[in-house]
Amino acid sequence: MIDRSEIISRMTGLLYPFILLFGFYIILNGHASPGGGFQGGAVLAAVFITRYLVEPDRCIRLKTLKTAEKVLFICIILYPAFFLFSTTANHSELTNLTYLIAMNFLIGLKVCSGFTIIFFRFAFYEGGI
Amino acid sequence: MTENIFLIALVVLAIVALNTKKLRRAVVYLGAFSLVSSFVYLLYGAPDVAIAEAIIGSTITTVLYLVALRKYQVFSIYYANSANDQNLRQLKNEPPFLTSLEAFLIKREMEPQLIYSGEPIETILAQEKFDLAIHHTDQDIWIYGCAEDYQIDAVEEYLLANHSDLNIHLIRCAEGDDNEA
Amino acid sequence: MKRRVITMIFTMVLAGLVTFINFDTNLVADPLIANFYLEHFHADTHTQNAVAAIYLNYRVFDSIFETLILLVSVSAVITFSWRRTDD
Repeated sequence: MIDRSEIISRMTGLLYPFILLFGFYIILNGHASPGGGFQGGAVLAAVFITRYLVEPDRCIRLKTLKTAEKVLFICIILYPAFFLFSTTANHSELTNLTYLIAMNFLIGLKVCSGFTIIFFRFAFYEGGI
Repeated sequence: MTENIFLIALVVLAIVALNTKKLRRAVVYLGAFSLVSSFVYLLYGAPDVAIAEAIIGSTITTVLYLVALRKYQVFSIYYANSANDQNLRQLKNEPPFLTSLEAFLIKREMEPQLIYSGEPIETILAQEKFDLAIHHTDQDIWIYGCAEDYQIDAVEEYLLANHSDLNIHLIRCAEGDDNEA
Repeated sequence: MKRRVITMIFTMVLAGLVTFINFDTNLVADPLIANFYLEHFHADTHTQNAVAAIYLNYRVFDSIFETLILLVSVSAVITFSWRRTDD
């Protein structure tokens, strides 16, 4: 961006701790209130995207995000495989809640890294400037 | 009853977004469309879908479309002057037909980017990614453009109408040979 | 002018169609499955949100393949990108 607006950059800089907090709230309360991993991950990705509007620099490491996404995907496959498919009986309340919160958190981080990679690929590596 | 009003608003916003002249306004109308549609999901009792639609529809895709429009609008013009020394000295103030060409492109929502090049025109054609390459010789002005670019026809029409005294020749190159962008 | 009139008529016809469809449809899904989930989800998974119970317990394959789709699309964006280098 050549001509950045001062008002927009200041206000977004002021807002994005709150957006980050809201994203983690949606992820961690996904089992009790509307929301969940996918929605919270999209909110977290929106934080990085508004950060691009404020200062478009290339200090985000896409390679690290790419490996993180693959590792998180393997975790997302493995945790239900060991937890849900091992028995047919019902689990206790504590283990169930741990499972739900951990799965929401993993899905949220994975969706966040996926959206961030797609957006910064388009912004920095595609055509034009 | 309330959802009927918002459903009609959805139809109106979609058709307004199709009918606008400027692409930027269409993007903003699409953001409003997703916001209203997320509210309709909320009225139907699906708050999870409403959150996902509000974030993806009106934040991420809007910013992505705006970035894409910005990248698409940059129109790079290479200008090579191989006339006599007298003309070369006048390079500091650009020739009048370039100024009016830039004003014309700005009116068509493009962002002209003028690059003065000292290299011969053959290397520019072979190596650089240009939208227009202008070669200024003693008598003639040669303009090279890409044949598939839809702006070229309008540019030719405009130049022939307003600067017919300047001996302008327009040459369309094939895509892929010398212009990958 | 003519174009504007045609657009307005088209908009009105479309709005009428949408309200007619909305008037006609039944908003509750198949009662058998919905009732099963609503009765059993709290005892099975100890959550308050039925949607989370469905996509993390009953239909966990659904969310696994959804994340797989995201991974594949990220790889496709990187592969078909204009410049293929990393970072």
